[in-house]
Amino acid sequence: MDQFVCVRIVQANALDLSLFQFDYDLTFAAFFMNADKTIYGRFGTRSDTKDATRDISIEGFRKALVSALEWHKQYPANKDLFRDKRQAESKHKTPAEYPSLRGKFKATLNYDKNVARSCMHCHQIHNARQRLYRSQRKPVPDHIIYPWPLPTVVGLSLDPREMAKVRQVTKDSLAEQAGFRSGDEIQSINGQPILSIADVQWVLHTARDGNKLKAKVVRNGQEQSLDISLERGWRTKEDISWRTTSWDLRRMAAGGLHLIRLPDRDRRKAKLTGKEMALFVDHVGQYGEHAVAKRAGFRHDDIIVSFDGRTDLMSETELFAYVLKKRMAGEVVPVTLIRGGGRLKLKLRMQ
Amino acid sequence: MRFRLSAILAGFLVLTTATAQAQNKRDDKVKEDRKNVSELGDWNYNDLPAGMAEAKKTGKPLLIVFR
Repeated sequence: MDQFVCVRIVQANALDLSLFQFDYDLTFAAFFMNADKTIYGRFGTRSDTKDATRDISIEGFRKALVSALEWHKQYPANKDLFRDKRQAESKHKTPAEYPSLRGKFKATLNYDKNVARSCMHCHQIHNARQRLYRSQRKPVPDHIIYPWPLPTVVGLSLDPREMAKVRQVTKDSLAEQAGFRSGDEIQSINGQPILSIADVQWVLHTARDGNKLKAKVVRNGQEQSLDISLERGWRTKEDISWRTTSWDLRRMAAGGLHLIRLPDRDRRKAKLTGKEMALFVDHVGQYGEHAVAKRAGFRHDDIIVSFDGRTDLMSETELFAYVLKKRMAGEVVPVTLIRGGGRLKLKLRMQ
Repeated sequence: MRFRLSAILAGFLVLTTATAQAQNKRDDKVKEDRKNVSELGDWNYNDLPAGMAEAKKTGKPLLIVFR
């Protein structure tokens, strides 16, 4: 660590969004870079609401640090390799330029009074992006609904104790079609050197439907080239319900309800098969815009079996995505639910 | 009616006091964090320009952590 200049940032106020592009839902994220603002790599991955450490490890972090140091020694001869680790300038240079955040935070924290309140949280940046589309009554695009896809979305389970080593390849996945095998060590994708799972996520985050990703892996000491073809809708297999930003999506799409897939044993009781839509109301928001569903008559323990005529929304994520793409704020949708063994129809206003 | 109003006011006071206490706790935690990390001496706490200047001067790479 003493070979680095270490900087700890605790707030997103006045963050340079053209430089610090990362998964804003993380509670721990790291950048390895140099004074020229060349980014060698990122670190930090998460896929669970409560467990922030499941997808990262100290061993993986140490290996990433070592690689970053090695690349720094070779700089600037290797400068071009890192060109795509940053995207083009963001239209919004700082979070405060988003309409929903404008005027709400000062550039620096106020340690003299209400310091916690003066702190903009990173996830608020992503919320501001979602809100921008909603306020303009535009469908929210996939790359905003499903940011920073985990490698599992293309069928790659990577070992958190390594930089980017394949632990498992999902059967019939895009990664399997590309020829990935467990034990493969990903060296680069589209020419970008990879030092962490977050680096793989960066490439996925910036990729679009129809893109082809060219990966270089080391297998049994030999370098191999593998191509992943990203078919239409590849991102939509991602589960976003763990994200902090989903709290605001619950307001927009479900009037403040927290929904979980009804467990199999409860399905049998409700006379529903595993293939039928059944979203259990696990929590009903109580205040303000998060209480729209409560005021519409929804209750804890209700089971939603139809939403706006759709009976194929099998998860909370799928319901969010449907609303964000197809239903605008102010529209009212019919919802059918099971309560106490009987069926009931309610109406829910989108926000 | 008077009793009802008193009950609402009492409830409001309890709520605002609890909220203020939670706010103070969070403020204390943020301040404590700054003190602890700054005392370690190895980190530029919440000061990116200082970190950039040090990296330029020393030629070292930067490790920037958002936490």
